[in-house]
Amino acid sequence: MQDINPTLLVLVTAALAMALGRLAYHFTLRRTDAITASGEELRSTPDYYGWYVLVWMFVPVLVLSLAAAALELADVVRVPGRWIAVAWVVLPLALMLPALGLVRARLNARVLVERVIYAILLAAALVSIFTTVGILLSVLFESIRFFGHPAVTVTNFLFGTDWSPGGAFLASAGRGAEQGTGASFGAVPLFAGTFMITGIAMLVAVPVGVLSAIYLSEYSAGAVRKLGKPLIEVLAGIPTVVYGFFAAITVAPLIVRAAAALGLDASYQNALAPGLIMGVMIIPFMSSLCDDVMSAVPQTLRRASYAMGATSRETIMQIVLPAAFPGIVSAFLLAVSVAIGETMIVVMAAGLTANLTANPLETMTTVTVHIVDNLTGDQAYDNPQTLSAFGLGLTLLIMTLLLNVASAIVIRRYRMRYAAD
Amino acid sequence: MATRRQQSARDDPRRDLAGAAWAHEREAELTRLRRRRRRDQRFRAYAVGAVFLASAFLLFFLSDLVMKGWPALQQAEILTEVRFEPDILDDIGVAFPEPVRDLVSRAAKRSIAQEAEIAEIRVPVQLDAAAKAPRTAVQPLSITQADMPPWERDFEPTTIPRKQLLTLVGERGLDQIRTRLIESPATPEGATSASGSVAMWLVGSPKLQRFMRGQGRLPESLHETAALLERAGQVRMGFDHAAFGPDGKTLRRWVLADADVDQYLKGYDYMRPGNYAKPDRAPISRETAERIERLHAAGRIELRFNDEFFLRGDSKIPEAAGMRAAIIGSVYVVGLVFLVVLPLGVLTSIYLEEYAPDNLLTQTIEVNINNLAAIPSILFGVLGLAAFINFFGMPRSSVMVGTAVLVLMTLPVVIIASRAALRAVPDSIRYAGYAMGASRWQVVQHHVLPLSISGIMTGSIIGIAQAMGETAPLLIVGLVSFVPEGPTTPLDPTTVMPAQIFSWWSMSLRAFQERAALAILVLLLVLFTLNGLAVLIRARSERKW
Repeated sequence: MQDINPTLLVLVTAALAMALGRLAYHFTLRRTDAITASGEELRSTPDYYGWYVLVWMFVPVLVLSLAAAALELADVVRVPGRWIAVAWVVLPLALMLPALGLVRARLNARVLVERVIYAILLAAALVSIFTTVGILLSVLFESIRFFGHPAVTVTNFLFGTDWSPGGAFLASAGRGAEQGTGASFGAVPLFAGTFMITGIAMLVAVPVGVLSAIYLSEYSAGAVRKLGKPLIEVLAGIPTVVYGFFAAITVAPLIVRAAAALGLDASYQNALAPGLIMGVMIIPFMSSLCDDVMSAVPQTLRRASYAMGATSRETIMQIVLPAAFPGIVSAFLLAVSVAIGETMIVVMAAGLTANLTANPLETMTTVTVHIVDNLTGDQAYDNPQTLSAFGLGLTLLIMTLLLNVASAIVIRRYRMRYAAD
Repeated sequence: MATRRQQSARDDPRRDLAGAAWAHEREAELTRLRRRRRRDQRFRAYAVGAVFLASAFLLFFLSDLVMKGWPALQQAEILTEVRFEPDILDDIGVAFPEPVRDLVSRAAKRSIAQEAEIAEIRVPVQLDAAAKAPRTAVQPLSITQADMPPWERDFEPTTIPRKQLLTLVGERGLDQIRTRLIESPATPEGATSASGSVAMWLVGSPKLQRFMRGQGRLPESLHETAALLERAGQVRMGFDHAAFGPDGKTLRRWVLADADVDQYLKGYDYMRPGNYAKPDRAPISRETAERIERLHAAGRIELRFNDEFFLRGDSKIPEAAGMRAAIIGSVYVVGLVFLVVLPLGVLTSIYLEEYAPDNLLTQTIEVNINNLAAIPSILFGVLGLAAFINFFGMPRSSVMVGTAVLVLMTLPVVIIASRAALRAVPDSIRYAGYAMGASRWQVVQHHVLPLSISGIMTGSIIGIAQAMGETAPLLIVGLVSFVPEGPTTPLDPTTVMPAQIFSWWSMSLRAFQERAALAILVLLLVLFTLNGLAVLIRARSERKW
């Protein structure tokens, strides 16, 4: 038999199943009309009986499909798609008449239907838990393999300054004996690169973000605010690959030329370019969060300050900002978390070589760059270099989660309590 | 009318200080006031400056991208005579006159060669009067050991049935038989077999064309037959005499020029190495440059609108590279993501807002969602690799795995936006529903949802726009591989617009950089439209409760 295009199969089956469902719903409504006409009172509204019948028709097939999928995953049995498609039409058809038979006036259809709805809603909500668990498990599982490898130790990973995984490839290819393993997975240069670029980004984002938030929330009148806020939002909507392109193609050469004019030597993959551009990317994030926080400070405090004769600046610096400070700190922590997790800008503008230095004009690399580098191209899962990506991923995950937790704690513990609370 | 100075002097409680001390005190006071005012103005200037800085960057950024991408809208083409004659199949260069031969793009040469040749199949045809219709004239073909190449020993003689042969012979082939039957049924050209049939080379069907060009898949059995026929030498690529006549034809056309020519015409300094298509090769010689100038002056080389960019998929040849496959892939993937994430997100937020009891499970779910929103996108790619590709066995680079990863990334955004929309519906509406005897689901279905739908749509569209621009997780699940054709099923490999941008950026040839910038402009346009749509929906459905 010829291969059937799976999209076509799915569409046709879905169309047939839906047509069948509508037909069954229609028949059910006819039956409920008959029941009402004969004088008996239905215990639920008629549409619920329609859904009741549909539940009995389709839920069994759904359960069977999921079971088949699970079995196929566990490599127990492989069910051809064709059979499943046929089942979705044949089984509901077979169950239609018995289900219709169940429709009686005494039946409170709403109970079952709403229970099924609840189950569906709960299942949807549980998907998010499964996602997190999935991320944790997948990263954890491979990281354990990474840290279990003889060439890798946790202390060296966290505190070692020599990141040269190259020898590992030779070792696993069997030539390690002559050359010595030579592979070292000391990730400190990667962390340093990440923090350097993040630091530069924060140097740009915090002043510009907080000041623009101050302007938009304290100073600007309606028209300017209406224009200014969307303008900054546009910066937030630009994809990071576009920022990375700009950083690599335009900003980096500019920096090299500027450095040369000052007599300094800068690499084309310097850390300043991705740092600056990442800062710009984070500005709208900082700005909108700080704006929210500052707007939450009650007007009464500001008015009291103005009544005492303070200027706007004095009010902002001495009243509003201190009140909003926990929120600003929390926003800062979230922004840092975004910056360290950012990938495309650094992949395109920063380098690949691990370099532990304090000079932002030199090339350096980050954690995310190496995650990408080791998971694209050839992947040998027994090679510690490939597995290092998972170790780095786990570190990144832990750092981000810690920053988010810290951010939430700061907001909760130090939130200013106003008289109105 | 007292001046301000006089008035404040009158009100000043220190006025009972003795003369000079008091005046001095006043002066100091006024100086402080002035300083405070100046500080205030400076501060305001800084604040304005911050907003101004952000806008200035945006302006600089957009104009730089437009300047870099704009040239890609044009592509150099050459107006030349193209000889469609049998000898060009051996060396495609001779199809073009000497002066332009090395200026024509390799891609153009390839497509001319493809146009000039056609797959042909040799079948036995019964040419005597008994065969009325061409279809019945075709006889089954038997293949013996003698037909097979020497390395295929132990070959079982087979006979290909007429039905299969007929699917491989196209309409044009049947026309050829018809012509032959009319002309001279009794004069054989090839070998005559005992039954009076003649072996004729006929033009193959579209299926055979696709097979010989390696495009698309034939059904299993037909594929085997075609492969067998090819090995047995019964199928070949030959010059398309049917289209170009017995001696061939010469046509005048605009063909794509090589990237070197294109970049030269766009004004890049051709003497500087690295500026041109091949950074490691010497740039075009002065002689070539002069030749290009002459042809350009004569109107034979022009920069014309680059429609290949939107009609073709990716290619290793820069002048023929387009983003059609990326656009189709993006639409397909993001469309599927939308279809999955909208119900999933809305159902979850309905559960959390309307149904969830205040227990540990609910708190876990909420904490989960907030954490998921904060996880770096690249870790979703790692999840995709480890769970979807390695564990579930989804095909790498496919639409399916890209969709799955993006769904998980967009879900928290949609959930958070939907919850906000649901929360914005006042409780009084819910209570009114309950008071009328409605159940919880009825209230949700008939009252809460319809009122919050615009907020939900706004949030979803913004989430989708984010998904459209994502690259990092898709990099890890392989959507950046070279994919020249758009996907047809969810299992096909695909690429998306941001991945195409990244892939072109990583090629060092300047022509690719140009295209990357233009692709960025296209992507930004799409995102701008989507976000504008979201803003429009939000503005139109602004409700006051």
